[in-house]
Amino acid sequence: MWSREHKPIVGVFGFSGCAGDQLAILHMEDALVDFFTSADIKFFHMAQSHQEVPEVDIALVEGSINTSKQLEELKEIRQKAKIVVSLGTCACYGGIQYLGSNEDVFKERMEYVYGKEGKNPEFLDLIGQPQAAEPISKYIKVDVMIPGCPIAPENFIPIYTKLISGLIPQKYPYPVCVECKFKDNDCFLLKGKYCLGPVTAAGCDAICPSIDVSCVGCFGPYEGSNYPSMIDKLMEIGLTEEEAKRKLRMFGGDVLEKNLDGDN
Amino acid sequence: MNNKERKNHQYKAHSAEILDLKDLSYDTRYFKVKFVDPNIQEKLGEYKPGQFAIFSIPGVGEAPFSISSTPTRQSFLEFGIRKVGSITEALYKLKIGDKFDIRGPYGNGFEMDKMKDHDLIIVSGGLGAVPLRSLLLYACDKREDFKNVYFLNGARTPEDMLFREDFMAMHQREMLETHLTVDEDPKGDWPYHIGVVTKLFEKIADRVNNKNTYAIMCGPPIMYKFVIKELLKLKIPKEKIFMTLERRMKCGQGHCGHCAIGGVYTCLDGPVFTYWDIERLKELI
Amino acid sequence: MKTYKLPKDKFPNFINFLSNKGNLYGPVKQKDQHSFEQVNEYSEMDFNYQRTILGIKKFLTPPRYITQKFDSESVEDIFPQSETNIVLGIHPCDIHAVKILDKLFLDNIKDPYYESRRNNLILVGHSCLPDKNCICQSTGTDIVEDGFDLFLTELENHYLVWVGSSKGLYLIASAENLFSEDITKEDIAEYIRWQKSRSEMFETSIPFKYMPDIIHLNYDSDVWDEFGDKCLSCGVCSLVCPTCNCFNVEDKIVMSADKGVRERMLDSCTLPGYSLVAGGHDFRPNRTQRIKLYYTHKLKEYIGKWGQPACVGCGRCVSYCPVDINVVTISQALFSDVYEEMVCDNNE
Repeated sequence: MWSREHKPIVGVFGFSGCAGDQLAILHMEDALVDFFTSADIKFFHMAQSHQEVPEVDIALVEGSINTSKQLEELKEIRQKAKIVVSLGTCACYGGIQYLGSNEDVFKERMEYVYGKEGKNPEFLDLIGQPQAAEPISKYIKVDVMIPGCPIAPENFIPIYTKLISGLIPQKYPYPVCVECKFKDNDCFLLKGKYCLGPVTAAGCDAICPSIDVSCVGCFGPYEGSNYPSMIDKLMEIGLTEEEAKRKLRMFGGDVLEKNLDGDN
Repeated sequence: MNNKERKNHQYKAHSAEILDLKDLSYDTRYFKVKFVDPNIQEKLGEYKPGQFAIFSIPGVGEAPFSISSTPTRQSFLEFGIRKVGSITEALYKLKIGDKFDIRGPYGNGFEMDKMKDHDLIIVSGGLGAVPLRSLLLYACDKREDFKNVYFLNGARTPEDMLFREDFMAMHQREMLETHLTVDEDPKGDWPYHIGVVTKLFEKIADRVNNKNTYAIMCGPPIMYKFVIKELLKLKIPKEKIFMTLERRMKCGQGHCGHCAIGGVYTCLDGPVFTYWDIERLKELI
Repeated sequence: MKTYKLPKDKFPNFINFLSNKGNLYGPVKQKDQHSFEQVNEYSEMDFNYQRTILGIKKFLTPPRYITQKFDSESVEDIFPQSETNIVLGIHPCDIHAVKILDKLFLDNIKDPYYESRRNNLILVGHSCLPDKNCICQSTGTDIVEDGFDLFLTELENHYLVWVGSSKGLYLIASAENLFSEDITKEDIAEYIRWQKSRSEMFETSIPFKYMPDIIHLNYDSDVWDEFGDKCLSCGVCSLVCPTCNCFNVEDKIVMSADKGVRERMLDSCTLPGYSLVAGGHDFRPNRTQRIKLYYTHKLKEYIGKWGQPACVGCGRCVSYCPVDINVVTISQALFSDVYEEMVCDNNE
């Protein structure tokens, strides 16, 4: 039997996003006491006031990187952390804000808001120069990804527990469809309704399809996804190619950008 | 199933103590272990070369490992383990005297009785030396049962070559004829052959008696095709060409399905297959 | 085999009686779909159903279950509570599927976790009529002669009840007054007429006996790539297949202490990591290879080994694959690839 060698130091960091993943941790009522006692939580962006990046064993990093200051802090976290975990779909893949990350689109929007001269308001000194949203893996090495919008405790806890125990969590990729069939659920696609289950990473326990809501893909891309076939299927049930791709991009971030090869 | 059977079912792993550890290379470690319960040691000591065991570290998981020792020396089991995943990572944290759980042995193993009175050509690549060491030690311990034993062993670099001293000792005692090769020799002090393992066939080809030879190989998947080609060139009969294969396994007893190749399970019907199996099961190599 | 007659209006009484003998499960309609759910009485069930999504494997090798729990001191096996579970309304194909699972889990090395669930399970079969996706006639599993405890064939006014085990006989014997042994010539004639008309209802026929050879000879056919291009690797085909038994194993530990559980989870050979070994070598990195494994295993190798396909013709893959990859489309494509005249009839 393995046993825990020491109580690890953990930091929870937050960048651009809704902070829903930090909130999800604070909302894990049954496990919250264990969370704060099984590790030494040295930093929790949302739950504490002092904000200096400490040396940690495990850094849970939420949110996408949207400013130069964030990027600096992210790099500091990487230097000070043994293991970096991207927490939530924004940190893993860029999140919904990644939809505006196309360089031209981003520039256009900046100009629209701040003028052609690019005059930056004063508060930018505080937060740094804005830049297009990117997942943290664009800038630093990420050891473990725990996606979700927000993360699901039933997926987060087993992985996190392995990490604080000094073990390597094993990733065995499968899509939402697997968890959906575990629950004896009927299939939306077969009824002519859209659903992104086959291209979305599992971990949510098929929570939406189980209450009769199509999967929108909030856990981000499933590694075994077959995008061309998925697009064909969505078109077969009445979506245009553009609509199908837009749906796939919603939470697909940088992975979909690569897979759809830049076309719209 | 009565209660007694249920207590002793096949998924039950037994506690084993680590008797010795040493590094075989920068990423592979030797484990010598013994079951804590002497009855279990006696029972499980009767395995065949080519069989494997499953290690269980509760909390981390289970993984299969080839047995590297020989059943002719029954008081312990030996393994050579490369650090590649979470279970091996956990195993590497263990020290001499520590305990972990083992179940098995599993698999068909080599049919040693059939090989009696034959020449053996044993071809190994990299980690393939681990299961083949079992066969080699067995053949040395029952030396009179076999005729010539040729051992062709390849590794990526001299540092990657496992059990080199063991094999050279057997060679020097004229128990077997050993030829070693490495793909690369970065330090330039390798005294033996440099090149792929198939090149070593030149050293034995003119002495191979194809009417009375068994060939056995184990190594990385890419190696098999090339070695088989050499063996067929030497006209070794296809049913006398054996190979032992690796597959993903979760149970070791034909239940979990992962090691299926067509209709056979590597854990039950393998891991030792013949060339004919490959003709029949196209996915094998 | 002992056979009894049960008047239709007595069936609810029989179910009432069974509810004292164990936990009752039966086909329950939920929205447009049926599934085997726990029930208390007859009215909750709908026996006029085509197929459930998950078959009886839901009870024998559930999607997720714990096999062991451990702490720093010891490892303990976890077996389900030894309560009797009685499943009602099982179609012949699903009974055949249990027979196949029994072979896999009990014939060679016994799986104690399966066996403990199997021993607690009483199978009460129910006759059915095929729809266009049913191919059990082709797989030879449209009729079932053993593997059940009781089997009810629904005729006009009564059920013919076949007793397949001593457990089944015991259930009947203790509700004796509901049953009669008086099976008349007319009853037999009605049964034969029913069987005949049922067997004429099948729309799809696949010559499975040729499949091992066809698959072997077509091993390198482009047909596989076409399916590989389409497959979503979603795993649904395996999860709904009543004979697919693959599982993955994972250890889970708790946050607060050094203890945890070993858990099995149903797996699918169509998933990308299915054949990945430690060290990173993947024996089946692409979808085509994985689909080929699935169908080679089901329709070729299993026939070679056991003399019958590992497909029981339930039509679940036909009904539930989102992109139409199933035993029928695969077989038809492999046949028509080499043999222009379609060997498979499909009057759809």
